Amino acid sequence: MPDVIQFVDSISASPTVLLDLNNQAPLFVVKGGWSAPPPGQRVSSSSSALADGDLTASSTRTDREITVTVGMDVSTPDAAAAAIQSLARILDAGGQWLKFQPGTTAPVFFRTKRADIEQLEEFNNNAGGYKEATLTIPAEPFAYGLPETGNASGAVFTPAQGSAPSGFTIPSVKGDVVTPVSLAFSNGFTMLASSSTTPAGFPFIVAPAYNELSTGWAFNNAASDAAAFGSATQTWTKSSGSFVFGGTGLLSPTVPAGDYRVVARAKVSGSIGATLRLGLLGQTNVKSFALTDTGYAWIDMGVLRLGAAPPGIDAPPNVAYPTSPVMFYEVNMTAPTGTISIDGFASLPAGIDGDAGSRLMTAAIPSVAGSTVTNVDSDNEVIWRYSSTGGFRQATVGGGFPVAVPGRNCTIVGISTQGLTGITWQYYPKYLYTRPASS
Amino acid sequence: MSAVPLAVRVDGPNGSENITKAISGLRVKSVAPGGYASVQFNIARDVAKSLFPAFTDILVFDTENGKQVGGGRLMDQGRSVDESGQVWQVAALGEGLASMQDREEPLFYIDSTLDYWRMERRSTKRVKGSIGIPPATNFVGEPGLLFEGDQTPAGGFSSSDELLMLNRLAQVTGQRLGGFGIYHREGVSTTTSRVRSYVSDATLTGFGLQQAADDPWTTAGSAGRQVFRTGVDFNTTTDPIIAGVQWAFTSTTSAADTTWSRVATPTLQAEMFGRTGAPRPSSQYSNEWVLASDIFIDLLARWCPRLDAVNASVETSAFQFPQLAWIDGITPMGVMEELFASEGAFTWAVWDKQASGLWETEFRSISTDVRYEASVDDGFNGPSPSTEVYNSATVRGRVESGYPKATRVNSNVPDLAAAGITRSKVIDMGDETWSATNSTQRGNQFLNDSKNPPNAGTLTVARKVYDNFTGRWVKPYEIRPGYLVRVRGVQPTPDTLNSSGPNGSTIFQIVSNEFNADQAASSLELDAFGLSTVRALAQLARRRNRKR
Repeated sequence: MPDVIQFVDSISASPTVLLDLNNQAPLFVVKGGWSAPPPGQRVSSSSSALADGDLTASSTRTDREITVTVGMDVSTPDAAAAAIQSLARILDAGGQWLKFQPGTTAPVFFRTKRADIEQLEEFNNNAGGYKEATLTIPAEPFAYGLPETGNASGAVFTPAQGSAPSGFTIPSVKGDVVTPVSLAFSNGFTMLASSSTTPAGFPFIVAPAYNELSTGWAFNNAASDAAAFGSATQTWTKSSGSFVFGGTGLLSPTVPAGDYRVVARAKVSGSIGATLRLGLLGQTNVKSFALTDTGYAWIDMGVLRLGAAPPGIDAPPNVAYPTSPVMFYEVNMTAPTGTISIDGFASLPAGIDGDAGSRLMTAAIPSVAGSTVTNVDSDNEVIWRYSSTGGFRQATVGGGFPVAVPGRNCTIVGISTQGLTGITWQYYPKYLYTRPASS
Repeated sequence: MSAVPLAVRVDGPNGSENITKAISGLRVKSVAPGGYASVQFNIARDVAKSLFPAFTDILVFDTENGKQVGGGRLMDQGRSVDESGQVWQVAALGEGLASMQDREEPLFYIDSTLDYWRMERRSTKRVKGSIGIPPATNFVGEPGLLFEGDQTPAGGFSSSDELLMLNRLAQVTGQRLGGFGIYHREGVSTTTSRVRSYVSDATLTGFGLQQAADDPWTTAGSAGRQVFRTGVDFNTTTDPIIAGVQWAFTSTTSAADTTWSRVATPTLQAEMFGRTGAPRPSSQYSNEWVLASDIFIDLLARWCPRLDAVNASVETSAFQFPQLAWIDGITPMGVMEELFASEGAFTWAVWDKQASGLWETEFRSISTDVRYEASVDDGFNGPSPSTEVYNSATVRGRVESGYPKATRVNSNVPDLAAAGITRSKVIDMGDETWSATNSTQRGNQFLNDSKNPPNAGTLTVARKVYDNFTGRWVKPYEIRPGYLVRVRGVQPTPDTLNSSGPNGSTIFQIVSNEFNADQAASSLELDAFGLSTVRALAQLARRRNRKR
């Protein structure tokens, strides 16, 4: 079966063919006429006389250059001219999908850019007007496969108390290289993270028993509170004395080594001048965050390095603490009485060591009337929210859109005050050249 | 290692857009003081397309942890077209630097000079007013506001006689008074002769004219220095923008050689704003000095609506400034530069744009703890010009009375002493900020900074470095200026940051960080901004022509 080389209208199992380059009606690819070498690398590296080797600071891919030489099965010069015109129109337009399937089970699609007929070879003593055209087609570095989709319906997206995993997992990601993951669900979120590190799930850390407690303060490790996850929370109550310092608690989360964005869920009993600090034991200059909400609120405590890994030969950042570092949190209050409730801390991946799929975004999702869908379009890097009655609104996004690493599971986790339901995911696997049957 | 994990977002009036994939040549810079300083990039865009809206915000984020790492206010859209195509060279200026230069206006916080006092009313030739010293052979002191009573023609003064002197500085700068202080002494003690202190609005009549004190004449001097404060001695129901001193008589009073009254160091304090924009309480004006930290909050609330004054992190500074008045106009940036010349242990910065739309702001002491650990492996160059070493300074200006003054300070620099060389410099403080204490402070700080050749230089960082404050390895663009970095591999020279013994590493202060995304590396300027034509031109363009 001849190779399928077609300009089509979309990435689809049965797309509309705009121009077939290899069906002899009239175009066909000559012997040895197809060349689509993998894209080159664009590397930033530094070197000096002080150390051996180069340090690669970044590397990205350049555009791919596809070269196709086509002949034309024509019997008149007018038919040849028509064939060349069909080529010229589609190449000049740019932004086309070039489907390539060399006998494989699944096709791949190259996203082409505006291109040229680089060379046109005349065969002047051929009365039928036969010509051979060599096309030089720049394209995006990687070819797209047919999209992979799925849903995580029923997944409760807000982190749950205890060690139960939160978020959801996209299993066994296909493709050759990292690819963006798009999502759709109801309601909104404030923070979303992706990671390819197994095991999946990032636990919502319960605030443990206190380590230090000032006079006049009382600590309750399991105060009943229907608004807390698991209906129980930890409270620090000041009833007497002028001590500002309440106490410290220690946590030792078991997570893969790397950077995490830690978000506290806490509330206070009123305007009591309460603050919360979170850091690593021994860390200086730890920032204080004011607690002002009387209902549970998420407080972004910043990025910490957590988790343990044995020292390895890799240069930093893969060198981590030999044992998991202990986090401490500290509560303070200036008012003479009051209560601080800490439901716990969520840790979202924000740069896990060796994880090419670690991304985190913050978002301000606008409210839209009606039954809404929030669409995280990672390919176009835009988030929009819409309903049939409320219309479209675009969100304000900071950080990176979620991505999936091929050959691994992709875990998506986040912070959402309302919880997310009806979760569907989609990604286009990306390939260097062709797509194997099952990945 | 893959692509540089940065994303760029544009915030305009019509919404936000992520433009990461469309740009090239991204450079992100931050400085100390100042915070985020600039974002520059090229974008291939048809020059026929409409301009981005003015004052669009450009924000740069780390895609792995979602933190903002740069940003600013769009300033230059740089449209160009040539044989290589249509390119917009876009530049954004850090919101802190932009906001602190938006307003240039006359401004004062505290003024003790006699420059702005004028005679307003004078009843008869018998009443004389001037800036001078009293006619007393045993008088020792500076000139002040002087009232003298003429003995001829005979008859003395009646209750309709008066001399009124006013200070309209606050009226010129458009500010209200928060405090007004005087000290007075006369040549004769009498209760029929009065010294009255006033604050007033522009009408100088009715409720607008508020009397703060009505003192009898006394040879012993007023009971300590009198300081009148808003909320206690006068109110702001009307606008107190004029300060006044009136000499008057309750009944016929005879004149003699001793009929004189001197008001010394009349000091005006401007009403200052707190974080919320509400005026500060009366306790602010009990002391006749101002702190840099209070001035910073006032500037945010007064002139920088895009900076988050309410939630700004502000440490209380130490030096008490007794004279700060810029009638010829100054920007908030200029104010901070003047303050830091005397209060060198502090810095200010504006960082992230918050969900509220306001930018995170801080004023803090420069930490003496080393924050970053780095090496020279990616590149280093360190000129150390010895022409920056001084052991003597003369700080010139004018005192309150207008007389020129100079304060000389010296320091011991062993290298210069050993060579038998004295290197001195003149620092011109003018009269906007000169005072005896401030000039000494300014001179000492200058000599302290000039004790050793600066360890200035440029460090290139292309790899993650350890951050002692957060306990993580941070990417080059996450390194914040205004903190100390310990650099391995540089032969140390003793300065204020390093111990005297060679220990194989040197501590620098990071002055700026410019990250070039195409090279995936940061260039840190250490200890001092590097010498460059571009910077010299920028400084010339910003420099105030000091007129007094």
